[in-house]
Amino acid sequence: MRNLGRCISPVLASALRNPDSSQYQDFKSALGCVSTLVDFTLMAQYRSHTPDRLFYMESYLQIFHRTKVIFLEFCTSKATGAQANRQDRELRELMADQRAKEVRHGTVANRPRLADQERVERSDRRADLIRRENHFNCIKMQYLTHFASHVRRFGSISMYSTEIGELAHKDQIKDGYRRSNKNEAARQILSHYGLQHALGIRLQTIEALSKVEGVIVVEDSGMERPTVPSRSTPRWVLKGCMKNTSTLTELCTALDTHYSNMMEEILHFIRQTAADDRRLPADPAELG
Amino acid sequence: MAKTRLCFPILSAWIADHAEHAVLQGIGSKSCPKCGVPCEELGGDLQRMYETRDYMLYREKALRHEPAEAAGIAEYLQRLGVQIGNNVFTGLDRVSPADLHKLDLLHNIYLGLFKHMMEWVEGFLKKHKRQKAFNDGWKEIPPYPGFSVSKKAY
Repeated sequence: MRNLGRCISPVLASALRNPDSSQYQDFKSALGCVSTLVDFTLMAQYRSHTPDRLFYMESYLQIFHRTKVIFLEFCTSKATGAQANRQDRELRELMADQRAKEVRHGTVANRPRLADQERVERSDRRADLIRRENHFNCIKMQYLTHFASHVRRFGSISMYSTEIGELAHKDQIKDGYRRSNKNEAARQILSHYGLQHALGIRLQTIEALSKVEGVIVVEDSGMERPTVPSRSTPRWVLKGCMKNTSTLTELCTALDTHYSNMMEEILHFIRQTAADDRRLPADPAELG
Repeated sequence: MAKTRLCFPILSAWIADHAEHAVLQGIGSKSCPKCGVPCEELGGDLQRMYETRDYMLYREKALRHEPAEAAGIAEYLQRLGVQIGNNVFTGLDRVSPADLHKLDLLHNIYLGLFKHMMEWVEGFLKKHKRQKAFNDGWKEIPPYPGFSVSKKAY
């Protein structure tokens, strides 16, 4: 549906090409209506706004409301549809009764003509009802009027989308439930996501550490001192480090430690903490 | 010596869809949580500004009225599209329930308005017998980064 906004205008324009003279005006206003609504929604997705853009948004909305009448006959709500069906049924029964009474007087030749008349009358009545009852009164339309003021007060709208929460249902809950044995699933769902998350972070840490310039980490033994650091390769920046030490190599120099020793210690630490039941010691003295 | 720090978290947003908001704010499903627009005029008049909902007032009305006024108050709240005068947010300090509601692109635009719009467009195309041209065009859209092509007709 998100992509729909990006392609609906050209597709509709190509579908409505070559109108004849009676269709021209209708096609033009239908296309205009859809385009302005799409423009409005695309602009609502912006991550930053200027007063001009908010003005554009408001003017798109105004144009949409001016031209929306072309679609009025097609926006039948479920309630109106049901009402129309009910009226249709009642009318048919009424006409069937009348026909039963008249059949004694009428001739056989008249019957198809009468049936046609009834059908036309029924469809006219239905169209009348739908035209009368159709409206654009829905809460989504009301929300559109708040978009510009919402941006002015709280910032861009995409920040508040429920999309992230809804997507998280799949990763955090549905996948966990599928892998559980469906018996007291809540606890299993929680631990499943916790494990996935912890594993993800651990993998990222190992990946980042293995990318230290020029060093190829091969299983247990293979560690080499890196070649001269080049500016082009991405650097692993240690946060909160000493001055002038932005890479592990520089840190080793500053601490006067051999690089391979440092790497060994880091890998040792990763391996030690790999088991989930290992926790940091409770006694601060042990932490050194 | 350890310092005690006081922390005052303030609830400033509640991200949910309209049905959830209607339950939380205690309003009817055809009422706007932000403003007191009547349900017959939703999205109708752009120039007209409706008053922001004052949930504290509803609470006052719902809680501190004389027994004799109960029917009048119920009618007043119903007219405003409010079902429960005292909702879950009105008791919280420094929280404005009308501002907790945040607009939601997913439900409002992608799943809401676009769906309606396609119903209108389909009806329009059917009336003018252009459905086939639309579906052909729909299938012909070339792919580009961040956009997956649909294989089916709309």
